[in-house]
Amino acid sequence: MTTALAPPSQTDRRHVHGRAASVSHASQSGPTTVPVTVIIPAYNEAESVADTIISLRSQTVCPAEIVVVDDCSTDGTGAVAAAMGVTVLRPPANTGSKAGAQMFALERVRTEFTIAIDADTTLAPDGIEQLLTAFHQPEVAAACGTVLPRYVHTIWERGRYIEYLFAFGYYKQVQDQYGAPMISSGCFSLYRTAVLRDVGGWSTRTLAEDMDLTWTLYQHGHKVRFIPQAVCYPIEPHDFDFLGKQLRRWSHGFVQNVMLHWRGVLRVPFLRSAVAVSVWDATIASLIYLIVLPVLAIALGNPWLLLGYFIDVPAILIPVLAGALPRREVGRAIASIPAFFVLRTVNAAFFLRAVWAEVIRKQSFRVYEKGH
Amino acid sequence: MAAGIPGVGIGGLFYLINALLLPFRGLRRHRRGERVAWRQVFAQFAIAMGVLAGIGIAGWAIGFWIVPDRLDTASGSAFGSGAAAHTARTLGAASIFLSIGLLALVLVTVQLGRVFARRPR
Repeated sequence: MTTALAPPSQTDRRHVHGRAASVSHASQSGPTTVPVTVIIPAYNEAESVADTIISLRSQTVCPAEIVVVDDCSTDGTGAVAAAMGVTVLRPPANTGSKAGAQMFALERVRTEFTIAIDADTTLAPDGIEQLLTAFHQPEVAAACGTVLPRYVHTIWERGRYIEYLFAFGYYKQVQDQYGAPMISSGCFSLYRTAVLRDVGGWSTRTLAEDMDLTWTLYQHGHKVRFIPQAVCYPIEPHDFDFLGKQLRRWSHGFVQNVMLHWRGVLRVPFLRSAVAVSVWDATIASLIYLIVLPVLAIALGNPWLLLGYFIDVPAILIPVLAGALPRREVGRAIASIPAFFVLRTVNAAFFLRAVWAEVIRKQSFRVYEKGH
Repeated sequence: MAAGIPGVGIGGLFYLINALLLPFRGLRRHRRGERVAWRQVFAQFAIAMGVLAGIGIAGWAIGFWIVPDRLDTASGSAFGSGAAAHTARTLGAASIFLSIGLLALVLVTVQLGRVFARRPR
């Protein structure tokens, strides 16, 4: 299926960095056990949760416990997970959100570190080990890695593939250099458990619990790191229906977080500028992109103005190729570029709609719809 | 999740400028005795230089090839080719200065907001 499930090499089975290294070895030849509990919130993920667990078991370091929160699934997710020997928790009723399921499990975590991973996400064999390197610094409370789609077939998956190559190979690395990655991605992040509990864990007050938690950590004076070598592979939406649910959640979540945290974010250097620029791009740039540009082209009778949609192809291509080259995926990346421009247009429409609903109409979207 | 729309708007300019400034920031941190990940710094700087070159190529292609030709055709040669090329160059320069101006406006607004906004409880 993917390289994500490939067995770790012997050279990868090295010592674990940081405080995690103090943990005893599970066996003489096996990977080191690290004080990490993995929480996998799952609602009707029977088809994908096994891959996630296998991927966790194939790590160069072994997490102390893997907990699947079967959020009252109806497809046998809990049974699949239980058959694989991991801990399965089932709340008395569906919690209604990923954050709710994660909080249900957080209460019983006893290890120094906690990992949040989605039930449709697999890891590169050294994913956890790489993330642990961030915790050399005691002030680091959370770390995240590179995200790449596991499957790259449909137009939406291809668009997302380019979006991620661009964002994680360029924007996020710049954010990390300035000490403020904007989001510790919800699909795969590692946290200090004590800090996680101290700031209240994952909140259900917005639809983007990962962004909410990241910005909360900054406001409490903690550091968040991005470790590009720690790679995870979620299943991205393959059709427009799933994509729409995901984008609706993300766009509304972003606007909700800006409205909730703006005063606090203003106190965080670099993050305040990055968020302000994102807000501008999500609103004004989207308006220009979707409305002003085509209207101008029609009004002036000059279709060449529509070149504005593709004018940044070379600028997009450079970071994308820089990310694809070491992965030997240049052909795939070039073939996927057109899909990125389609996805970008859809993104713009969803962000505008979210701003309209949340800010102008004051209709906050609160229904957590699963869409990978 | 990703916020904003990669490549579009002033975000591209914001990250480009910040990536280009990374070596200077690294030097300053190095002088203060802080650890600097030079490899990542120069990797991002190289990408930013590539992006800059990409923007230059796109600008050249549009300004000196497509636009003058089309302006002449569309306007029934109301402009001479020299005038059309000048118009294209002016438009290109104006859009760059507009983007820089907008980015500066947003960043200054954020700084003012930091000064005047009340600290959250």
